[in-house]
Amino acid sequence: MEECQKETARITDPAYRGYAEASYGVARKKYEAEKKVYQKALDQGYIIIDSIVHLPFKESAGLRLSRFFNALRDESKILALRCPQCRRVTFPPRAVCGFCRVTIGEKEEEWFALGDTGTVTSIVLPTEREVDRATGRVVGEPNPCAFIRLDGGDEWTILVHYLEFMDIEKLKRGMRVKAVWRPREERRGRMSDIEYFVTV
Amino acid sequence: MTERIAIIGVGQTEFKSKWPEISEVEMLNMAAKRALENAGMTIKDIDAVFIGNMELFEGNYQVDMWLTEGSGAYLKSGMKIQTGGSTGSSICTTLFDHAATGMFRAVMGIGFEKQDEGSSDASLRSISEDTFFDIANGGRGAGPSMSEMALDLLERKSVTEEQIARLRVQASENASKNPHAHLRKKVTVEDVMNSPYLIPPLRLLHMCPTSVGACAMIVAPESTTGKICPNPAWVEDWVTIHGGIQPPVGHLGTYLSKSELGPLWAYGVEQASLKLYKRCGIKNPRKEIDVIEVYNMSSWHEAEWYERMHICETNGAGKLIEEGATALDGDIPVNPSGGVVVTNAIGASAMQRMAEAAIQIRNEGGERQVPGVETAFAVTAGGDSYSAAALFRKSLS
Repeated sequence: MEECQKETARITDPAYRGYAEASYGVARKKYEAEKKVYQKALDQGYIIIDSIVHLPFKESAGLRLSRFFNALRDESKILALRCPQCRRVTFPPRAVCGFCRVTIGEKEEEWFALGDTGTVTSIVLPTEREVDRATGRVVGEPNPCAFIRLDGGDEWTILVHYLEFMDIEKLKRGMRVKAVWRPREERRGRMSDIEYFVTV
Repeated sequence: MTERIAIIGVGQTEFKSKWPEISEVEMLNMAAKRALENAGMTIKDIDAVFIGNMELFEGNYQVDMWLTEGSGAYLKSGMKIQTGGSTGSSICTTLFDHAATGMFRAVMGIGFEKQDEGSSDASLRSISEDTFFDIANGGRGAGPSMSEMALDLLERKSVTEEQIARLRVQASENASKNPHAHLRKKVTVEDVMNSPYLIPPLRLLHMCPTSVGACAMIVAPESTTGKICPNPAWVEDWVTIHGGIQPPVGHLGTYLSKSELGPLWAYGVEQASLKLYKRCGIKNPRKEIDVIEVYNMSSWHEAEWYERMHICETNGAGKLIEEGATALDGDIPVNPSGGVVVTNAIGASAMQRMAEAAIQIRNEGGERQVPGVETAFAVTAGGDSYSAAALFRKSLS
């Protein structure tokens, strides 16, 4: 924890400025070039079929994650499990400790709540290089996204979540953040019950 | 192991970014035919066929069904294999396992990817990650972990950005000598240093491309090899290690530079390498191995792998790069093919590492051939955390 709180590297170097625009430009250029290659093949008589797939899935969270999401929605608590054997924290709560292969989550004393504050260990800047092939639009949320090491756990308790929309200059590894919870009536028992994290 | 085994044939297509003129089945067939030709065999001599790719990247599930005619699998034994980035090397170790039983005269594997048919990004973001926790799309996939690993390399002063650029230049020089490489244009240190950031400090030119192509390989036990192959690449030993522990968010657990496992996939690469060295009696890999092929998904990874393969000391990657030790004419050439950073048709990539190692042993490398290779080593990694490694020899004692 200590190591992580120190400011390890800043991404406020002037060289990083404008990189988002550059990456966006690369994505557009790639998309345009791709269109040309395909048009040429079509002109030569090759058949190429557009195929867009919509796949509906249902995924069961199971015993442990259902409890986790219920606590998230109803109690604003982020639950984790502590392995009775190696004492490592398993987050999100899973069926088995990955290290010592012991079943966890069946005993009440293994459950505990992490804090909703944490330390940023890695940041993804708000650039989405993928271009939607159907519409030609660049896809992605405008908010930066971060790996957040939640307080009260250990080195493994990392959550991937959005940060508040902020100036790139202000983003840095090691900064302290706090969860912004959605109002109770908007919560659905999903990770998005936390809207994003703000700096503290 | 009951039988000694060898790679007796390798076939590769060309690799490019878009290949709208041919279908997946035609591409697969092209690699298979070239491998059979290289081995001096026909499909009748093959008893089992194994194929693998990242199926949903192309939008065709159950490729083993649709591609039967191209792979030659009809009426034969075999299976389809998918282990993420290391799919190709998992096919290889499956080939080795099967050949070593002595139950097959010869077995063929084909790794392939036609990434121009789909969107790898969309597949990674939608259906290959944890539904419940990866809510922030931008945080998914390999990017953040790679950025963190790169920052870690810089922070502990193992490498400089310029040294990483030099690695990329070295890859492009090797690629220009490999007719099966995708990005064959030579780049300069300035080109690399000025290419746009993906996630700082990871730049576009540090990163592997999305490629289209296929690689096929034929493996046989000694009973077959002795009859038909004057120039086999003997597989002395091979190993697979799953190096990814599950918490906290799927394989994100292995993203943590400062944890005991180290950065993404590094633990698997290191453990696979060390296990193989130990079993093969290799004490000083830099001296005892003539050439290495490694799964360098980015130039930063290549530097990390140098340390993890123990061909240099911890924090010694930069020094190794400065010495030019891993160049084609260095004392421990790494990726004479150019590696993944210049050619990445995912299902083929990891197989190409082992295939290229075999090519070096068999002295079939043309311009990219390292002279006098007796021992070659290949190690691979992927997002599913399977790391496979193999050691190849010109002759077995």
